[in-house]
Amino acid sequence: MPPQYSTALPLSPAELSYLHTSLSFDPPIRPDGRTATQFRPLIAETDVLPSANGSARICFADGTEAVVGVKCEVERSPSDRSILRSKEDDVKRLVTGGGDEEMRDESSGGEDDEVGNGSRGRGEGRNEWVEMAIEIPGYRDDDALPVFLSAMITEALVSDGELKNRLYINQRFHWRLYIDILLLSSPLSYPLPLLSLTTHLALLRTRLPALVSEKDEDPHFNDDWEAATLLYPQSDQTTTRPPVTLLVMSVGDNIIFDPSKDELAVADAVLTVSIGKTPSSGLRLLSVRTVDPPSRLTAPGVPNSTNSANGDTAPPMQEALMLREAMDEHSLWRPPRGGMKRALVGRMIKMVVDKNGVGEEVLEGLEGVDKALEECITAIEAKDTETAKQWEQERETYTPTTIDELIVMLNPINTALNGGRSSRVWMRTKDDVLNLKHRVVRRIAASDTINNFLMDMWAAEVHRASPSEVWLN
Amino acid sequence: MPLDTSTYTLAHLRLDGRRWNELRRLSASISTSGSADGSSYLEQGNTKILCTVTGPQEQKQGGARRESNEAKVEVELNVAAFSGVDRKRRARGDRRSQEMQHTIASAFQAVLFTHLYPHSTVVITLHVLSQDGSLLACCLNAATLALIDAGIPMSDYVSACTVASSPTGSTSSGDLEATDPLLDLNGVEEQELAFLTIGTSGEEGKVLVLVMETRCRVERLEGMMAVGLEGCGRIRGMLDGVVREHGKNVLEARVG
Repeated sequence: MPPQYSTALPLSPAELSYLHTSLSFDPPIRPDGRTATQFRPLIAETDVLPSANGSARICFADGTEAVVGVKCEVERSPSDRSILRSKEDDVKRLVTGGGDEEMRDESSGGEDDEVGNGSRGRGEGRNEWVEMAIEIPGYRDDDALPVFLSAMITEALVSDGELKNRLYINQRFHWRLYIDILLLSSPLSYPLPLLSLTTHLALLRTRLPALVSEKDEDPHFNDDWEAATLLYPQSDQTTTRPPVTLLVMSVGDNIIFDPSKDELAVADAVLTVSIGKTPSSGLRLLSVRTVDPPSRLTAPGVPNSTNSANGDTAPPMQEALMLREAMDEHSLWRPPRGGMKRALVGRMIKMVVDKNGVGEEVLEGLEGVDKALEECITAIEAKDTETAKQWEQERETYTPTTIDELIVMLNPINTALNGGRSSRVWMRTKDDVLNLKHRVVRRIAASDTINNFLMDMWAAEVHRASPSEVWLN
Repeated sequence: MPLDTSTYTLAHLRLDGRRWNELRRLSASISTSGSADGSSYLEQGNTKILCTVTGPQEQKQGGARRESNEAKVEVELNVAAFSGVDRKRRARGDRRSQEMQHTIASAFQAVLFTHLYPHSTVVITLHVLSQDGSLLACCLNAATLALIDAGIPMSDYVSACTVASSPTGSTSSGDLEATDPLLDLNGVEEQELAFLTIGTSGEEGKVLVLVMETRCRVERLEGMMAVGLEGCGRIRGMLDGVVREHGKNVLEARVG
């Protein structure tokens, strides 16, 4: 059931032909002037929800927004394992029947952590322990779009087989991971990349309480949230990162990334490519799915020779069809027919998975969101003037002078995806940064959490506020 | 019990360090979403609500055509599964959500100038990202801001807050002076104490919404309402400040 209040206007054959022709040039001319591999700027924040184990929010430039919250719960493992256990264990289990409730009281936030370091060798998880739910306004939960999107994202998530193993605690208990994706605006374009990026970011920041009990006893956790461990540990050699799904389209021989709604409307072929990262071997292709491009649903243009509106009579249908087939495809819009060339599919995948390719840029950009924020926070909390001086010394040519520019560059994913600059560029500012830091320090003291600070910064960017206004209240 | 702590009896400080008449930290911004006609994001303590408004727009096709000379206000409340301490998926259309939706819709039906938009619908969508008490009150506040952002004329702000009756505790039955009613409850306090939600509009504090689902002694009601009216007045001032700030920013961005 389509959303009831969508205001999408279908494009006319002339517009479609114009877009298609522009995108077929070498290099392709995109409506907003981006290069073929350039992504649109976006705003990304993590840890926006105080009651979730991990959370993230991403806003795309076209106004679509998604929030993902990850919550975990301890669950008793199914009892068929009890056959292998001794009777003693059974009795213990009956006696401590209120184990779940005890655990909830013990651990702050109520969720358990997967087995971190202790029993890695014994961990064998099950994919059912990961549950995903997608909410899109205007769609019911059993409509095709949410179900399909949920299946695609879950498939990529469990495909590396590692995530479920991290959810194992001991023989009797395990973590159950709930990923709730909330699309906050009606989907203007195919929402898969947005949801996938937001899920990736949320999972990257998901933390589980530290386990202090041992082996098979009832799990007890450290009350201190600072001791919580990450679901995807940063420095571990053998772990992978959560996957990311990208949308790739082709027009003729051109391959185009991050297509906007208009560009999708004229695509010859659209693929969703899921990639995962292994620290050892770089990027790994997890899955490729084809998407039926919306261009196939468009109506073909009517050539002037068969157009009865000109005053002549229209030729009979057979003749009209033959005339249309004979016309040059660039002069009149025709919906794409046939499939994709295999070589083209190969090229698309290669562009994503290659070293220094698009996939790596995206993953690095997402990781950069956290790193930049952490560095910013530690520097500010430490009221570190030495760091500021260091920044001065490493000055580059581009020096943002206003808070507007600094805010934009505080989103390193912006810079990483738009020009390949590293995420440290935003720190190279001029002397004003010292004044900025003092004002920022005052502001953080007034607000409760870094999240509120970020929200204000984001609000300022959206409203294009002049610098002084942000700090007035 | 949130009020059985020693800090309350000794220093009259609640669990989060507030006194009886202190509101939680309220921060709000409007025009947060580009794709909706009006949008707002409101945080009252840890209760975070995002509201989008679309409208006035044509009535849905099909179904019985509603004959009316007024716009109709429809509210949709989406409580996210990760909003509470435990992860819980709310079924769409469960009774509690429907009641709240109806309350909010009728509150705004009375305040908006609906006669200006006959045969149309205003849809208010509320996304609850995190809840920690005062849900209905925050929803009303967030919806007010979003409607203002959407440019739908209304007679005045609708501001709402919660008030709890002070517990009898260990005071004897004849002792009624007890303690003051508490303003703006968080999640823990809401579960333990009897409270009401009061929503008013206008500076003089015309009551639009008054919801109480728990029980308390009737003598206390007047005191609670007085505290609530004062709290709503303060919240109204804050919402007004947010709107004026936004207006100033927009003007300066345009004019330079």
